[in-house]
Amino acid sequence: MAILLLGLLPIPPKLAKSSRADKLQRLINADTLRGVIELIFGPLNSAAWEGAPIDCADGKIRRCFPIMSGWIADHIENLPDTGSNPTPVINVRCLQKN
Amino acid sequence: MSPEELGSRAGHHCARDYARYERYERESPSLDSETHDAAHSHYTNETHGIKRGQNVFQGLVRVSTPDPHKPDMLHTIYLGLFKHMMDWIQGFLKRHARQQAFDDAWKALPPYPGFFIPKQAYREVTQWQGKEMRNLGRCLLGVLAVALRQLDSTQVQPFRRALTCVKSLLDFTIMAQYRSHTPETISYMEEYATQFHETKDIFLEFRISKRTQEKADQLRKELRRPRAQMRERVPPSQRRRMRDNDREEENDQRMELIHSESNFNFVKMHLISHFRDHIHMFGNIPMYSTQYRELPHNKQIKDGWRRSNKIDAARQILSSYGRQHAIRIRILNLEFLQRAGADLPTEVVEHLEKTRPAPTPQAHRRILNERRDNIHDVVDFGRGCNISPETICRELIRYSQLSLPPERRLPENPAILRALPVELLTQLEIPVLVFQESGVYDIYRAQCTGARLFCNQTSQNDCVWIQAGGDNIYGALWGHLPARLIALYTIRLSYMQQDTVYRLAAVQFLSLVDSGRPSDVHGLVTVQLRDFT
Repeated sequence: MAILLLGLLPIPPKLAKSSRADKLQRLINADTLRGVIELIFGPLNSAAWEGAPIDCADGKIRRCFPIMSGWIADHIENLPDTGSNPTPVINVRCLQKN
Repeated sequence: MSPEELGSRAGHHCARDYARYERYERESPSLDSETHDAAHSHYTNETHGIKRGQNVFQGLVRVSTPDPHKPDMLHTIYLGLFKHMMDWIQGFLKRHARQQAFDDAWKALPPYPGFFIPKQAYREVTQWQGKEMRNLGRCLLGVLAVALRQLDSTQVQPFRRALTCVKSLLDFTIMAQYRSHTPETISYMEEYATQFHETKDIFLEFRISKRTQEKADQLRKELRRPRAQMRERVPPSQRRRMRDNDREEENDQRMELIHSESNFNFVKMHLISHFRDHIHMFGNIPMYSTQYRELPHNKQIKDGWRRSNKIDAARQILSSYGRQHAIRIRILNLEFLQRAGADLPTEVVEHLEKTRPAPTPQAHRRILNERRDNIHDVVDFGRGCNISPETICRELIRYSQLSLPPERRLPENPAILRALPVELLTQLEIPVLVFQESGVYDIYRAQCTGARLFCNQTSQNDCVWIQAGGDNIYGALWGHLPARLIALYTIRLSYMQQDTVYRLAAVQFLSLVDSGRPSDVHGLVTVQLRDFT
């Protein structure tokens, strides 16, 4: 699988340590990340709505719609649903002894 | 998810949060499912304890938020579950006083293709990398099986359960590494995951939290105080029996508390249940693993950073890599055009010829390396390996009679055999086919130093697999037997002015226990070292 480097995520400047600043920091980080993602995926938006003609292996030209299928990060916490760190509560059943 | 699904082990806060969430859903009927999913509205409701924020994928088309997350071998299995499991195993070994046996087996591991020998005992290692954890997964079951040998009647069940649990997680990991799947392989994976979940309760007591530990200590104190007073009143002859009974009851109560308070509720334990769906939807798991994403970091980012002037480096890194990539694509296009017979300018053709890498034919054969200087004939060879020349001659004649065609046989006179020139070597390069690949080989270098020390430490005589018969013998080993190398040597025979070189290896076979049948507990075949004669 080819891996292309399209951009480097910027690191926003750090604020002083306090709970309020921490909240603001999270917000800034989330907004920055969203801005970068928008910038990278922006050109694909029109193709995602209308489709783009792409050469197919069988020699025909087909109308294709790009779909985002993966976000590969260290851990599920880094899946940026809200820009914060959402840790899901899950329940794994465990068989009791005997 | 309903409160019932959250389960009794989910803790009180989950049910409370769920009730709040339910109330919130009732009170805000205007939110339709689309806006709910995409979180289009930036809504924060502190009073309900629910926070809704903007999603980074907001505004992007054809993005389904639950899909992008991919299962990851490196962080979910190697640095996640393996790490947790090693903590449990260490607790288990400590409880059964087998830590030393585990460390001894760990340190005595022999080299094997694609496996790095650990240099320290398990407990001496402070930090683990993903690569080391993957390495650990390869040998863990064997080491644990060795550490849990020689058990008494009370240990049979827990040891069996612990080994089954570890085995099923390792088997699951092996299945998850497959690059292509069939319904059978996926069902195997499911089966192993189910077996792991069914047997993991043996390690539940080692998932004890600090709070539970405190509770258990408190409970023990509360139980001990009145009992000590009671014991003072009974005659000394009965005290011992009473103390034993008390201890047993104390242990039971402690275990009951631990089992009711501890759980396996953590994210990575849950993530393995999504592997199957992911394979159905997106294909194999290693394709999306972060370890492959971390590999190009060096080429794509670090090299660019080194080339940059470190001022506003991001742009320089991007342009540096972008340029290289564009040139590579351009060259590939030109090569394609050249093959298709397009008319290209001469300087382009010259450049393509110049930059084309020379094809390196890979010889997939075994190569002997690193000759030892002071060995000239069979007598020297015997002295170097601590084997008598008579034994060597006898074995050579036997080999010659059994395995060589009549025209290439060695002389059967021991006096002539002894005088034949011998070269002793210490390394054998063996090409090993890479797992699930065709035509891709790893070179494994088997060392054989005989009686001589290797790196001034101990002598190193590696084990190798030898095809010793047809596929129908030796049970699960399919005609292969493990053997320890004793010597790698060549014998040169000049006959009718023609030189013949025999490339030979002296090996000591290991013998099979239970005629190569895999154990029903850990699924491994046991072998043992025979006395060397």
